[in-house]
Amino acid sequence: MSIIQVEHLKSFFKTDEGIVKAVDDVSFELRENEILALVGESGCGKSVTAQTILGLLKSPPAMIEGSIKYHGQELVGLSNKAYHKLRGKEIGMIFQEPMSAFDPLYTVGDQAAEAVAVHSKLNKPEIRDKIIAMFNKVGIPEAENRYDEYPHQMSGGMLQRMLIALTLACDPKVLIADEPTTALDVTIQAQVLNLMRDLQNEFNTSIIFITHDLGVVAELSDRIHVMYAGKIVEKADVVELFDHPKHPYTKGLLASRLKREMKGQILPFIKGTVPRAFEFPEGCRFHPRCPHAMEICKQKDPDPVAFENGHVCSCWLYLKQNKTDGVESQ
Amino acid sequence: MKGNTELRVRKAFFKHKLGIIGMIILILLYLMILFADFLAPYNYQSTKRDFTFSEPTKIHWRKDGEFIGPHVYGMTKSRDPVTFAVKYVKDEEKIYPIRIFVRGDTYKFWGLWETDIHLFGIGLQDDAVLYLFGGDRFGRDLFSRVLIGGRVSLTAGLIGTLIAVVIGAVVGAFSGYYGGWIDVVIQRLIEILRSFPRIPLWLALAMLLPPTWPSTTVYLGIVIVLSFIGWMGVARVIRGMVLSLREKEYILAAQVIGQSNFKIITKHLIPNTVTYLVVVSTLSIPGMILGESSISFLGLGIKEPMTSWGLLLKQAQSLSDIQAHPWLMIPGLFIILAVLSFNFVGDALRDALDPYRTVDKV
Repeated sequence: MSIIQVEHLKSFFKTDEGIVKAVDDVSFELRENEILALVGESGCGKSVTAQTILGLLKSPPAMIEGSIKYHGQELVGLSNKAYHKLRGKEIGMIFQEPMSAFDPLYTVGDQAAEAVAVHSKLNKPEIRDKIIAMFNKVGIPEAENRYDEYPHQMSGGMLQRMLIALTLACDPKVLIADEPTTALDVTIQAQVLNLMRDLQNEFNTSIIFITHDLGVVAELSDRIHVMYAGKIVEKADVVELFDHPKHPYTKGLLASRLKREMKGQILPFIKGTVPRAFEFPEGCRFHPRCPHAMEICKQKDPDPVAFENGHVCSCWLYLKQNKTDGVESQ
Repeated sequence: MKGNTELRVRKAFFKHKLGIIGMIILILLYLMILFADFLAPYNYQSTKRDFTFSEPTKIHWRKDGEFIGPHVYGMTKSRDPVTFAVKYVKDEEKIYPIRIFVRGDTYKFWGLWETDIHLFGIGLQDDAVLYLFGGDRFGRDLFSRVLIGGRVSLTAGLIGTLIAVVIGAVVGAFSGYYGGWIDVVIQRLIEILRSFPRIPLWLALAMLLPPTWPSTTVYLGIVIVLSFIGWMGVARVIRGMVLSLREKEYILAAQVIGQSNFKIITKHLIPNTVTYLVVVSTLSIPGMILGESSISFLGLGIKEPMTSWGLLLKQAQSLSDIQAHPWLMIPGLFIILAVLSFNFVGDALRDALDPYRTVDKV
């Protein structure tokens, strides 16, 4: 059962320098009780996808087309009022920088209580109890005392856990985690990831996990969608993707991870950078950096090709091969 | 950590000598208007026909070289037979000692109970007065009138600023948070209103107050007129601050939990600008005080028999008046005192609350 169904989603921005195609024709689905990872370099549209789902982009300047269905309810073009009921209650989100996600003027407890109070009719002591229980659940020591402390008195890891706690206290069906571990150091990262895994099992929340860290993804997610320059270039289960990466970009990403055997060698990396969003190249957007670029790559955008085990990849390499092999392309 | 910030702010504030002096003066001034009825030796409306334009009463301490405590002499009014100018001749036989807690004009203390006890004075005498700042055209005690007039001047500034800052903060925050056409409309409106010269606009608005209104209503009207001009500067700055604050992640976080825009503005955006609001308030109170004074001075503000510092100064409008009765300028000194004090306190607060100056302040 899919809980969120995104089809042909486009989020463009009108700017003075031209139209920025931050998300261009993206389709995917989030299934119940799964952790779906959106992976890609900085600036490839992961966060914009998340913000589009939550209706956080102001239009104008944003222009949003396509369809996002949450439990069959169309979210594109939904009124702000209807969105207020959805945000937090149905779809929650946690952020990259826990330090700046809290208003410095209020205690963490007050802010957590604010989140719960928006959607529930509980009275203040009940909310307080609920928050403290959640704080305990995410492993905050002395939750009772921490409730009345200010964000600047906390460490980043602690704040991130509190953010997770306050988001889950609203009992959302879907959680969008936008690089929740990027700003944390490695030991805390592991703790937060384990915590998210545990909580996902306990609360049956579906999670869209946005990250650029493939190591994190391997540990946590069920399926992976790789994004490049506003498009999803490859979709696969986590094991399948790591074992049989298809797209040259995915291969590049996997190759540029740190491995012990590479000691003393220069790290492999993908040459060049993600092009700026208003000057994406014609054809396949990866072709200027692709080691296998062909003539057709510069002219036409490849269609997605389906492989076994739900593995999908958009690359001319396989389209040509498929054509010669006579396998039907999707 | 929070304690440190408080400590730093307090330290930085107390380092500012002028700020401290201003603070003390302001506290004294506000205590003064709070107990004005009690401190004033006379009712501000009671007239003494014999003592029109009487110069500040001289207080004597000795009689024939012998110390007998502070006292004033009885006065008889006479005219110079040549110039017909009014002269007061003191009658050294009549001694009126200055006492504390004397009975004088009755008044209602804070409007609660009637009493006639004044802090000091010589009581009600026919041929002697204790006019510390002299008398005015109707023979009223200028000192008592300055005390009472301070009520209007000092509170009009305070309330006017409060209203102006609240309106400015809310309008500015909405303008900055929503952006788009709301922002454009609000900002152009502010620009249009601000392009009018300030004093004529005040006067035009003050003209709208009907002369038949009772003086308390006129007072409220003046306060509203003052704040009508004052909110725009605040709104512009708050808009700018909100433009940068709204990009903060905790605003996004508040949106993500489904918080309403109104709550985000009132709970997260405006409170985060509060240090600025505190400073801008203290710095704009003097402008309001001057504004009230100028409107009253020009005769469109507070009406007799109520009084304010500006209205008191109105008597000193002509040069010949100032030459003959220089003590009529005294209310002006109070305006200067109050305005300077507020400015010094505002400066001290601004320096103390400025987070970018922490290094040299700690």
